[in-house]
Amino acid sequence: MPGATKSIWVLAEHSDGFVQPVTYEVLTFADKVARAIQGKISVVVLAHPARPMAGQIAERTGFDVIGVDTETACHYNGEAYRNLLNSLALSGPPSFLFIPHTTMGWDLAPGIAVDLGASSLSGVCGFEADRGLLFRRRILNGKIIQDVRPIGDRPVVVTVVPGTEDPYGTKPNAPGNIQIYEREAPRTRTRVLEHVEPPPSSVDLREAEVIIAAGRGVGDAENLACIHELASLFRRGAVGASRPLCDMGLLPLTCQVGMTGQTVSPKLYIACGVSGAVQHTMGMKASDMVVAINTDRNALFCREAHYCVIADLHEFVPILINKILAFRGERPE
Amino acid sequence: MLLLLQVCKALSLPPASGPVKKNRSSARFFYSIVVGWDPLHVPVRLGTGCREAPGIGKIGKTKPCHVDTEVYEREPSVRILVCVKQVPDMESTFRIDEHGKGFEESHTVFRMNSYDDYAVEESVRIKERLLDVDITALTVGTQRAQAVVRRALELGADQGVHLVTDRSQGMDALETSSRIAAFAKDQSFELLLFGVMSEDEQFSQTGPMVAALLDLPYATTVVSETISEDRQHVTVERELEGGRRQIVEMPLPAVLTVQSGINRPRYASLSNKLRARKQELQVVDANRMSPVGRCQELVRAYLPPPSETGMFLEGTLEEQAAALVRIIHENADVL
Repeated sequence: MPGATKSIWVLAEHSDGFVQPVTYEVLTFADKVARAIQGKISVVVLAHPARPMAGQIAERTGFDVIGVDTETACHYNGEAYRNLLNSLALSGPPSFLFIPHTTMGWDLAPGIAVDLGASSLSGVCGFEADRGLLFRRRILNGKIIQDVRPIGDRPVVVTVVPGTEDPYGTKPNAPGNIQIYEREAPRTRTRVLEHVEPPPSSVDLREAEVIIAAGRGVGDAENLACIHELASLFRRGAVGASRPLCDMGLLPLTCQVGMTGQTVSPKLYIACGVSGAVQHTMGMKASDMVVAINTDRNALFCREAHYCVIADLHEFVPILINKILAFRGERPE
Repeated sequence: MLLLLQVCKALSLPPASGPVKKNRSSARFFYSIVVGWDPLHVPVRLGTGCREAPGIGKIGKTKPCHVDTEVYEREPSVRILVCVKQVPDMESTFRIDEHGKGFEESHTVFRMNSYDDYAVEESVRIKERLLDVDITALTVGTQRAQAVVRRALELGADQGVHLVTDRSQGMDALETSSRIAAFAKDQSFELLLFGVMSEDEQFSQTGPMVAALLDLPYATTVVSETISEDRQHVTVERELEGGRRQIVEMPLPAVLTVQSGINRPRYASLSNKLRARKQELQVVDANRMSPVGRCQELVRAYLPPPSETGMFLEGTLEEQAAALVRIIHENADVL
């Protein structure tokens, strides 16, 4: 489409004055889309102060940055963000607005999509541009893939699943242009009162070399014993958990691996009865070697794992424990 | 601490100094002295004369209540809308249907989205706290979806609403949200509760979309909520990445999407089960509601290519375990 350059906004996510790495992953995705449809990317930074982060992004990526500096934007406030984005959009709404599929994206994307009268595509993990633009996403715990298309000529709000792309790494020839708008704090009904840091974790899973992760499939506390025993075989072994198991009260939240828990990168990650929801896998993608033990051959986690054992973990884990002890000569085969 | 400050503000007291400021449990204790709540946040009201709360029945444990009838009757009644969704059992094996846009339903078991369990439970807990609360449970879906409205009644909702559609799959978030917003618009709900997402699609869109369509403030990923004494505001804790929390306050009416783990959902009581079976639902033909827009077009659905999976080990469990030990030994230096 010569002459009709589509504007693409990528919303930066930040915390405590630092640009969150997921911003650069979404930028990689947006850049690929931009090349396919001849779009032009601007990174939008809503912050206070906005300039340092805007400068950092412009220098590292070479993309233009629009910064809006207002006091309430020092932390994420959904209502304030919507307000600021809407006022930016008054001088021409973007064709695409890319947001990370994080708690910020969950909160912001549907609201801003309604405000802009936009198509809203959530949880996107790929795209295809051969015959019109199609966005890809996984549903039903990854057992089915859906291709969806935005509607008509409206703006499109897309949330991109973290881990879909590597962080943007192309070295720019020159830093991007920076425009900073100073705005008065928008009046909002929601007031952010404070942020509470999680209590320092008694279990620092980041130090562990081997993590045995327990998922919903573990079922009850009794069955958790063999998971603990397996973890205890390794010098720096630890037990991790997916969220459902913590919600069931079987393990403390401090053991939780994933989006709202810890992010880990052990040498070996053995997931027992973990379905593989993206909120969990986001926290363990960097593991060197991943093993799944699951009764469901179609479980999403089998796609994350290098090796899969289809078995009832209550039967298999005791056998595995025996084999490990036998390998070390601590128990006869 | 937040609670303490609010109470002090309401009573025009200076905030207490010393250890009370830093310690949550002592803040609760202070709070309990001032307003007569016990330290664990269980509502035990001061006053004379005990009045049965309307419609509470035998939900969970009942505590002896001492409610000042006069004060109680002047308080406005709180109406809560809790929206629930029917989802397929995630353990199912799915096959693509003949239209290539969804899955075959013939052998699929459906149940209530587990995140909505937490939303229903939270509404019942609010009712136990504030007493004069009325809970309406609502779903949008085909005939089979009615089961989840009944499920919500079993768990303690007072009323059930079913907005009936003719399409069972591929419902668009904006379509669903518009239906809910159209229903809720003139109903003066103080609080609209949703699960943080549905298990099947995990898009986390419906709650915030309803809020935006109704122009209400909203908060997502909520792991605790406190409604102010005057029932004009709600203060919530939102769960962010890495277990970080954000505390947000907003006026009512408002929309909240609750995160799993906000509470421990109860089992349905026998009396509620019996009631739920017989109770009449408000059934609305969603197709007759004013036409609504869509926010996406579903082009196709398909099974993921097998090449994406890891390597499946073969043989007996003994053989697989032996193979796994060998693989771990060869690839990771941890044994």
